[in-house]
Amino acid sequence: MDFEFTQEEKEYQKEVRSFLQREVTAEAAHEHHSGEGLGPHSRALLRKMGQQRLLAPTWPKQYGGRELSPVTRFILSEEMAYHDAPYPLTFLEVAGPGILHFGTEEQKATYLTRITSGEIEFATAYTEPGAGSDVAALTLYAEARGDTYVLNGQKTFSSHAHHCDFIWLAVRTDKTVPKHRGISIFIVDPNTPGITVRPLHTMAGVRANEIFFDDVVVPANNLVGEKNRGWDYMVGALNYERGGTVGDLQRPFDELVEFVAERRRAGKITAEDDWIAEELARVATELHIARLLIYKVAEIQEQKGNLTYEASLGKLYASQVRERLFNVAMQILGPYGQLCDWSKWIPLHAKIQKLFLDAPRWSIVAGASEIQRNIMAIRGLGLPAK
Amino acid sequence: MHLNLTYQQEMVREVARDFMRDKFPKEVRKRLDEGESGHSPEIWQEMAELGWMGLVFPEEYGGAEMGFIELAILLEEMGKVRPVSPFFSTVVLGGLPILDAGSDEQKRAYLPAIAAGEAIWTLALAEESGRYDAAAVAMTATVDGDSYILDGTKLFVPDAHIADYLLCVARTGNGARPEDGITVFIVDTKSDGVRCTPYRTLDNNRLCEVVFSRVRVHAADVLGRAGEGWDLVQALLDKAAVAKCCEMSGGARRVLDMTIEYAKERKQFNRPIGSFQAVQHHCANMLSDVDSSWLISYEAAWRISAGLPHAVEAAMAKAWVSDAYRRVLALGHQVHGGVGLIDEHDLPQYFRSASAAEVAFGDARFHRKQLAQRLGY
Repeated sequence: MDFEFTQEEKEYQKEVRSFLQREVTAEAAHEHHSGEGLGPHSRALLRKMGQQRLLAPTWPKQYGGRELSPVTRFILSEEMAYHDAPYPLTFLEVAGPGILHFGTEEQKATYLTRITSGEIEFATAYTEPGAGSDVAALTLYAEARGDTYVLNGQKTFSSHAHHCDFIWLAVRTDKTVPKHRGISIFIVDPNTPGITVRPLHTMAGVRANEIFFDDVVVPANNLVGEKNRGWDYMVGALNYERGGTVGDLQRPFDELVEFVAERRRAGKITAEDDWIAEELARVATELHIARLLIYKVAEIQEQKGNLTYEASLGKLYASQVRERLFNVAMQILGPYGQLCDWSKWIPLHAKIQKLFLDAPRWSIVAGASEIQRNIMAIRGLGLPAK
Repeated sequence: MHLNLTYQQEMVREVARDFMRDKFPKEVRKRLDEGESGHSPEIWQEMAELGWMGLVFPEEYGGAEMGFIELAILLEEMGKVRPVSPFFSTVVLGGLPILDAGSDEQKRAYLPAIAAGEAIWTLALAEESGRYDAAAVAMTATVDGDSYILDGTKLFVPDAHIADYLLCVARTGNGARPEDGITVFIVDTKSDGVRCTPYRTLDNNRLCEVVFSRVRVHAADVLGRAGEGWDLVQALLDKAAVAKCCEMSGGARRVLDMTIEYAKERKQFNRPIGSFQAVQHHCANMLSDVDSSWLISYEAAWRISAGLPHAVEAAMAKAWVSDAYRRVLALGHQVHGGVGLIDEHDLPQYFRSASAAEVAFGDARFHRKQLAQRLGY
């Protein structure tokens, strides 16, 4: 048993950290916090990371990885989030592993090194207006026509569709079989005629998108792996996506702690406010535990064990800590927390307000908390599904 | 990073699990609960023969030289059945501080007897305030020649009614801070002036009032340095909190297992109740509390084993597990419904244990305050 990183893991962490401290520009950080997704500065940063082979530490060396232990991907996501860099979750944890594990040799050769070199960005498009938690009910149809497929339908809540190079798309390829057995995955160029992307914005200003497909023709060799096996690929990849991170919580938490310390020094926090220290201690504890639960996912992957509920638990727990952290932060800010326009009265540069508004999103994305609990109960505890 | 137990540690677990299952069936627990002392000297001897009391002691003191992790495993397995012996008091509250802070002479004098199951130990710390901090220590010890005279009343002393020795924390002076002037004494419970009254607790254990009336203790029986004893008490309390969390994690795991078993079996509306999402989500929330409790407890235990600083992790563990175990019980009861309320059912026993463990060595709020202090919030 060893709860600390190995020497190799520590070295990777140190390398990523010092790289980010040096290379994350104010412009890239601004793009990261804007909610608009990857802009030119973020992309330049990712390419630079790719050149240093920092982006896919666990992947095979032949595709630009380092073959390090599974926990290093959490090290990467934590460090990037902490240093205001855009962790490219979609391509590193959805499309990337999807192609690596299930793609054809040609697809591996085409995409993998371009992913690890930070050149290309994927958008994930699974959700539809009628297929949210019941994502297997998706209806966007791909009809085989010669050596192409013709796509018609709609996706929604796709957060990177407006700036991606490729869409990692789940479609229905067989309407006659049970819903889980008739799904396939395609890699689609977003500039293909017939695709329309329309913006949606969350209450925190994070951009999501609707994508409309109107007689979109896609080459048959863009089908990932086998036809009608898409559901297995989605579930496999979701276990990556759901590993989660609290790196983007640690930073605002540290800033909140510093803010409280300053107010205390200035005599603006008094003995009557002793609940603040206790609440900070509570959040610190839960952040710490969230990290352990997330690392546990890596541990199981390292032992080549079968992940059943652990990624769901990590994701669920992290979303709860997030909510608590920003509730506490807003309580500490009191009436100042509601001010939007910049002035001398705004503490912590109104950053907290935006994160507070964004917190509810995290108990919805990548499977709502109720779905995580279903998975924990049925796959983790063996309770009957019906 | 490696979060699993070794093969050897799994073996320790297996032996502990079988022993607890075989030696403490329901009838035995009931007999002990209803008996005068709540203690079985026969089973205690068998535990000694397995080497449990000396598990973490060096070989020269009759020990097995294992680490705190192995101790954590034993405590977890005990917690799964029920902590129903003076093991915790003797090993965690008595043996460990002697090992950590005792002189060579004290170690030679006391540790082999503990390892052999010949001596039961405990800690007399808390007083009327019921708190586990230095300011709560009011009992005095005054110098008289080459001895000290102890006067005062200790409360909530576990197993004192069957103990041979106790570590007694008393004030030998006053300084700028409440931590100054505290001394830890090794006291033979047969000494003149020691009077012990056991009280039954809601978890069917015994906590004692121990009154010291002019009890004479020789200066050679001071543990550590006179007047500087609080550091060793604090170290002891951190380890005790972690040890208690390991025990609680075991109990919480068992409650989850019982609940899942029941949810699969029990049918209402022609379906197992475990197929209803309302019940499934209760179970998922229990799983979250059980897994998280185990991880934070074992991280703290591992840090102790590895000789790393652990004050922060210990406070985090007790702050978290105290609340989590209570939540696990509340949901476990909810899923069991009426049958889980009946006193013959096993569940109430865990409810009782969780309540007692929650306040042992400081509850969640106490440890969050400690943590805030330690992290400079």
